[in-house]
Amino acid sequence: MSGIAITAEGLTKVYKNVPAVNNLSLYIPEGTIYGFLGPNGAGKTTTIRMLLGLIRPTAGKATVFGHDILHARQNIAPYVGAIVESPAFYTFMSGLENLRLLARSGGHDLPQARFDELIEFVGLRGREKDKVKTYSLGMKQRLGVAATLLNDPKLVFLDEPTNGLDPAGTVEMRNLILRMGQEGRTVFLSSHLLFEVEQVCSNVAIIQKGVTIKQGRVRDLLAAEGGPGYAIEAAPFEKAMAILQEIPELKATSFDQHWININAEPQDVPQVMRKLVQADVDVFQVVVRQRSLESLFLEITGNGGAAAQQPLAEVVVGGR
Amino acid sequence: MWNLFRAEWTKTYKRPANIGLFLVTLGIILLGFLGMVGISLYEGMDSQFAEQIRQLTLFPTSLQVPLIVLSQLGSILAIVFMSNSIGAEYTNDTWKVLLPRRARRSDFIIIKVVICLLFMTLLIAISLIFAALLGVLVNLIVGGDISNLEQFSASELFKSLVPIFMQLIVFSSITLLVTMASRSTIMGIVFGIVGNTIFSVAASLSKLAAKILPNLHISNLEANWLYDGEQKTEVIKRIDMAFGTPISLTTSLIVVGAYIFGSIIIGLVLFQRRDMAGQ
Repeated sequence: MSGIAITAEGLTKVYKNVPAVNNLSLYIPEGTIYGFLGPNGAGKTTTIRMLLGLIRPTAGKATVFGHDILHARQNIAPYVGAIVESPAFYTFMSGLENLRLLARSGGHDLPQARFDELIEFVGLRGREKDKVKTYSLGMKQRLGVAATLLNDPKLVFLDEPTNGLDPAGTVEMRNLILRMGQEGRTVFLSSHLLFEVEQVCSNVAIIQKGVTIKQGRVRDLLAAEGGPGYAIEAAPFEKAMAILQEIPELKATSFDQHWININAEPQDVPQVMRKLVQADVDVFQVVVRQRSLESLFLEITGNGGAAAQQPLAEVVVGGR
Repeated sequence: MWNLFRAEWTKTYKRPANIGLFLVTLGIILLGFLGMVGISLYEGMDSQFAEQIRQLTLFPTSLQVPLIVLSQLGSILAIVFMSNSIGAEYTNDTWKVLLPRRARRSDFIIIKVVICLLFMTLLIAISLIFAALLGVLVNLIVGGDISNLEQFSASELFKSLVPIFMQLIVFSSITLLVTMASRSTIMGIVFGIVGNTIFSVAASLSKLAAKILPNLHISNLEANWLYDGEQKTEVIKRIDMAFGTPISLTTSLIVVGAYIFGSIIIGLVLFQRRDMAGQ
């Protein structure tokens, strides 16, 4: 990492008295794959559009590679590529023609070899001369990735790049993102698909209603918010729960009247088990529970409850 | 800017709507000639009408057909072209892939204006060539001479083309502004065409409107440009009556120039400051 790709201080956008982005702060190191998380309507796309100069902020300041987004676009445009929301192309032209047109729009007359390289990179070989109107959504998304890379950017914005993709397309897109990261580019990945972000991003920011709630390295955030814990299967359930709740630091919770989740260090587990057994509680299983970005997200955005029960199977490491 | 020009030009000649504009214009000219041939054949080759057709389709007189078509349709074609050129970028949300690639947004609009002029120039040139070729073909069918080159005068042709260009530049500039403000191709076309008609009616009903709106000023410029002697005096007298007072050539030039440059400049300022928040 050699520097800072993006900073934002108090970035705000208000539409008709309704703040879409409110006092947002960002600090994105160069060379990272950065996840920008938030529920639908959280202000992710508005933030990206502001950073790209498509929307003027109502207040606040942001820089890209140290250059002000409003007053130094000539220093930003050559180093940035972006897919904003759904891919937009001239459907009456072929994929290759679209790429050439977009390169020229940015002032570059690239050699054919560069287009061949990009078409190969995104896996559109053989379809590049077909009109874009005949492309599937997945192909358009991949063409979008090729378009973002035309000017060999140092910073790539990807706004919900897997929207509408089938599972195979999602995996392909994830691999493309990882390859971009491996090439040393900074990738700003906006998404509400937490599993996808956890797979590829080293750093994340979580926003809600236009405000940054959490920001930092994924593993630091997970550790700070409780880190790994344990899931206990015991009977009778109510008795086990009452005993565990007597020890506040365990933060015993249950979503399904079956498994009890506790936070505990490994050395404390035998003592907890002993306490249960001594109280005539039968302990059937104790498994390591790895905290996921999804559970963290649901917890801090206040969307826990029933939804948070869903990832139990994913987060239990070990199992029956 | 050269690469941006090439990108915009590729878009222009590939866009189906623009190909449609070309085909409609050439189709109307073709229909005109086909009609003349049909009637000649119906009336008989020795008829007086056939002789008139031979004269009309003889080069360079044959160029009158596209000039009449373009004087009637030229501004509408330019309105549709300009409105589609800008509005389609909003409709398809393609501004978001274009704008982050350049530091200055105004580059895109300046190039679009240049391309509009180039497209219309090409449309006029091809219409003239097409009509000249059709004239030769018609004369081969109805048995006349192919051309009368001595009658051809490039300066006369240029003189006839200037008013056509002036109309299309004024109304495509106003369309640029309306499309930019409304972010809609349809609004641009509707306002361009309806606005043109409303302007004409208003200018004929109100002397104040005549002075403010561009139509009568364009007529004033055309009269000064096209006619000489008594004819010029007569036409200008009628125009002055509509204005309610004599209006100088300079005043008309300023008004027309204000519409052209004012619309483009306001459009540019609007575009420069406007949020591209998507559809």
